[in-house]
Amino acid sequence: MSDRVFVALLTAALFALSAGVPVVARSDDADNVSPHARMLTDDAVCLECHTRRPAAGEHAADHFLGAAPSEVCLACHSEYEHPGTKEHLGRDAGRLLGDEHGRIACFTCHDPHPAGVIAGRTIHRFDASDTTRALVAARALPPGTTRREPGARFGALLRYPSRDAAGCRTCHETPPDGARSWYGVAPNTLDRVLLY
Amino acid sequence: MTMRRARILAVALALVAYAACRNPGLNDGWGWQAERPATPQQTFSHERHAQVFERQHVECFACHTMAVGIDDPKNAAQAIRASQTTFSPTKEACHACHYNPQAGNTAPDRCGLCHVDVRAIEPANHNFDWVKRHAVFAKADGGSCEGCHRPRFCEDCHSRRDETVRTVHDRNFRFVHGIEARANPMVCGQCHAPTFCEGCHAKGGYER
Repeated sequence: MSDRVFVALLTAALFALSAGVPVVARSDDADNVSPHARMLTDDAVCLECHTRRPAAGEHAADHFLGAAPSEVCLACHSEYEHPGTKEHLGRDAGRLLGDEHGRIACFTCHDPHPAGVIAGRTIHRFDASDTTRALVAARALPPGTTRREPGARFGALLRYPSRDAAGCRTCHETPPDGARSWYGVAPNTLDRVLLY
Repeated sequence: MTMRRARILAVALALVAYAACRNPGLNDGWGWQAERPATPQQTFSHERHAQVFERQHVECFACHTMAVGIDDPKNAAQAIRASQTTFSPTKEACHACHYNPQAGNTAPDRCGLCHVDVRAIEPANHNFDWVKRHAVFAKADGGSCEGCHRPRFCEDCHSRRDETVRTVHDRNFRFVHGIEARANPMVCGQCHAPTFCEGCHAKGGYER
């Protein structure tokens, strides 16, 4: 290698470093930052949210979390992460997993741990019927929003399957006899909620 | 003379009153407003859609969309507005089944449930005497009616026999139709199937 080529390569390398050009692709970089992805490879990542790693079968009301359960996700995520969050957050979680006050939090529907981190736990990817996808694609979106396919890598990390609204039906139900009942919320109250 | 003036004045007042009360638009002039639902939730029934949604795999997310990113979550006011708008159904969800000129309606048109003033969405040519004039448009493009109307909308007038309303023929046309039929025997076949006449006339010919 001639001196001229060596100097050119060195200059290019220094320029790239000083300009902050990422050495790895953006998706890999995001995976390196996201604790959800690092759980699969790094045991120490548990302590970013939990105070200690529980023994098998050990449970605690605070899930061994370092912060209040209602706050822990919000360290990275927004309470406006996707439409529907504000409509659900803080409502009575009922028989589902709630925060320290028994109210709906992010982890009521989502499981922060990807499949394989906690033995025996099933994590569901987001899935929807072709009809649903077509209807969503046809609808107009307000300014300030962008259409997105949820969870390219983990499929939104759902606790309940989304197909045929199984996740929604854990609380919301429309019985076939036509008498609507919404778990934990009186029908009229919910109607008012939907009307904003 | 006084009587004549009084008559003229009365006519003039009547004309002014008519002009003042004339109501070219549904919501103009009468001091009342048609009550239009502010949101689809005021007319939409989850119960009535439950079975068909289940059958066609229309899931909650189809109308209550969550697969949308909020561009600026830190702008709380904008984020809440965008979230609420997206989490609520839009007209496209209703129109996909109830008004779909491209693919055809798969559910009855119930335009009036949301569009209380149906004239606001009525095509411009559906104006004066449209009932008489619609034939030429309907024959030119038979499918155009069903772009808005339910599939049996045309048949409801053109085929019904349970009400004494004038449809295509006057009542008692059965007794006088022979005149028109003899003048132009092909005219029956423009609407009726070729066997329609023979159903009655096959045995005895025209004289039957």
